[in-house]
This record gives sequence, C-alpha cells and structure tokens, in this order.
Amino acid sequence: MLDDLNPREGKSEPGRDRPRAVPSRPFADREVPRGTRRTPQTVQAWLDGDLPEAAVRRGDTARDVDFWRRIETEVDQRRRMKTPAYVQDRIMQALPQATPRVITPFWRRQFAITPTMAVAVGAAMLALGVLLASLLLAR
Amino acid sequence: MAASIALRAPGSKPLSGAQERDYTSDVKSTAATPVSPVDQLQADQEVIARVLAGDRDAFSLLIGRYSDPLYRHALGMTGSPDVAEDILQSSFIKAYQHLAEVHGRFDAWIFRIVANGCKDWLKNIRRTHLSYEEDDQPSSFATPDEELDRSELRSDLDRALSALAPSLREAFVMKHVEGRSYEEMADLLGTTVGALKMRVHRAREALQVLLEEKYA
Repeated sequence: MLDDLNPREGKSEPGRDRPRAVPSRPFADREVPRGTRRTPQTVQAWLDGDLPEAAVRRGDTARDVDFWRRIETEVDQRRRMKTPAYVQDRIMQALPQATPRVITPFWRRQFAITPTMAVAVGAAMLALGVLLASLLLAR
Repeated sequence: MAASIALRAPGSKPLSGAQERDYTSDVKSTAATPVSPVDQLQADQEVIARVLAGDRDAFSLLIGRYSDPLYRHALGMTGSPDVAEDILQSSFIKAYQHLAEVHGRFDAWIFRIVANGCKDWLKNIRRTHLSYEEDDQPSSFATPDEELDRSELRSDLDRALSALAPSLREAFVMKHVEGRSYEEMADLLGTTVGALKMRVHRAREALQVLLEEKYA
C-alpha cells in the first residue's frame, strides 16, 4: 500500500493560487477578475471628477493615481482621434441615389372612398350577409 | 455633482506622425458644431428636411457633424480602425435610408445605430488580435523609448478592453475615451446614471487588475 505523501490531504494551500492571465473569453456583465487589490472608492470618485487629485494622492492610493495617469496618456490619444477624411467621401458615394421616403404601414395609410367604392363594398357586405343567413337557415 | 472626468494627464503628448496624417490633417470640417442642444436639434432638423426634399449632398453635413465621436466609439468598442470605418459607413447608410423616421434627436438616434452595430460585430466575431501596431510610425514628439512604451501600452489596453463584457467596455469607452458625462451616457443608452456608474467602476476595476502588474 502506498503512503499518502500529501500532508494537507488534498486541501488547497492558501497563498498558492496561481495568478491568472488575461482570459480567453470576455468577462460577464457583473464579473470582475480576481486580483490582489481593487480600485479604492476614493480613486473611483477622483476619476469621476468628484474629488480633487490632491485628495487621493496620499498613502496607498498614490500608486493608483500614477497607474490611471499612465492609462490616461493612451486614452487621451484616442479621445483626439478623428475620422479619416476618405471615410466621409466613401459614405457619400455609397448612399442610395433615391431620396429617403416614409414607408407607412398599410394599416396607417389614409384611404379615399369614392361613391363607386362605397356601393361596391355595400353590395359585397350584403351578399356576404345573405350567404351567411342562407347557410344558417339550411341547418 | 461635480464636472465629468478630471483625468487629463499634464504630460499628455500629441498624436504620433502616422495618426496626425491619418486622423487629423485630412479631416474636412464640413459644418460648424451648433452651440446649444436646442440649436443643434433645430440645425439637424433643417438638414434632414433638405435631404428629404431631395438635396442628397446635405447629408454630408450630418456626417461631418457627428462622424468623429461615432468613429471614436466604434474604434473603442472594436479596437480596429477598419472595422470602425465599416460600422460607421453602414450606420450612416442605414440612417439615410430611414431618415424620414427621425422624430427626435438625430445624434442620439445615429449613436444607437452605431452602438448596436458594434454590439452585433462583437457578438458575431471571434476576435483574434487587433491592435494599432501596423499604423505605428515614429513620432517627432517622442523619443524611440517613449514611442515603444506607448505602443506597448496601446496594445495592452486593447487586449484588456477586449477582455471586458461589451456593456462594461461600452461604458468605459463612453466615459473615458469619448469624455461624456454620466447624464449624457444615460440619455444615449436609456439607462440610469447609477447603473452606468456601476458599469464604469467595474470596468476600471477589471482593467486595473489586468494591467496593474505591468503598469502600476
């Protein structure tokens, strides 16, 4: 018989979790990846514009401020990007030639009833009534 | 409530040479941006009336007025300039075809078309690796080391953003890349300020966890 050499008997060892890399799938809506520390609420408030930078650049949160300042250098580049000029020309060339028109569903369209149409509808309804009555009387 | 994002790096640098060429210098300013929302609404409705009356070229005023923020949104959501351009083009064509159905703000309406286009693309595509690296050229404003750092940060941020759920990515891009206020975001997305704050906070937490080991 073999000895069980695991002194923890299969229990997990605390502090030995492997760090996770960027996952291959997107996080779910309410999911936040596990990490060593979370963004402090004061830093969130500063990023939202509710606190001045001086209020968060103290103690542990100074590191977070530096981190977000660094991210901001890249975000700032993106914020100033403009649409390439040829895109507008491309869009204009791709537009349909026809003028856009309102497509109204048939139940919202207005009908003009002429006397002839009114007489025809009346006659059709009368014929339908006669047919139904004859069917009922035949039973 | 205080003003929107206070984040603005004091040492933020201008665009790189390639970006200057591609995104800035060739841009045509076809229309001046109206001052107030009421003026903007009125100006848009006048242009829409002209287009519906047969003046097809007037539509370029609407493209010129709104393409930049929409392009930034599409680029932030997809991470690919080519895809962002395609989404922008198909969205404006769709907007043109249904222009007679616009009864309120054109900007909010076209934003929803673009946002839905981005979400559809994210649903349909299995993403591999998309970055700006192909377009990178040395900048006259930065040293080679700074340029290398920036390029690395750019692709790392892209990768981290692509790991977020679309709703979190959308909230982060709208808040930080597009610089919108929570109220404006709530107006455009049809949700509450509280819900959007929660999404932005979660997105920041996720990004910080994913990036802080390298950049903190």
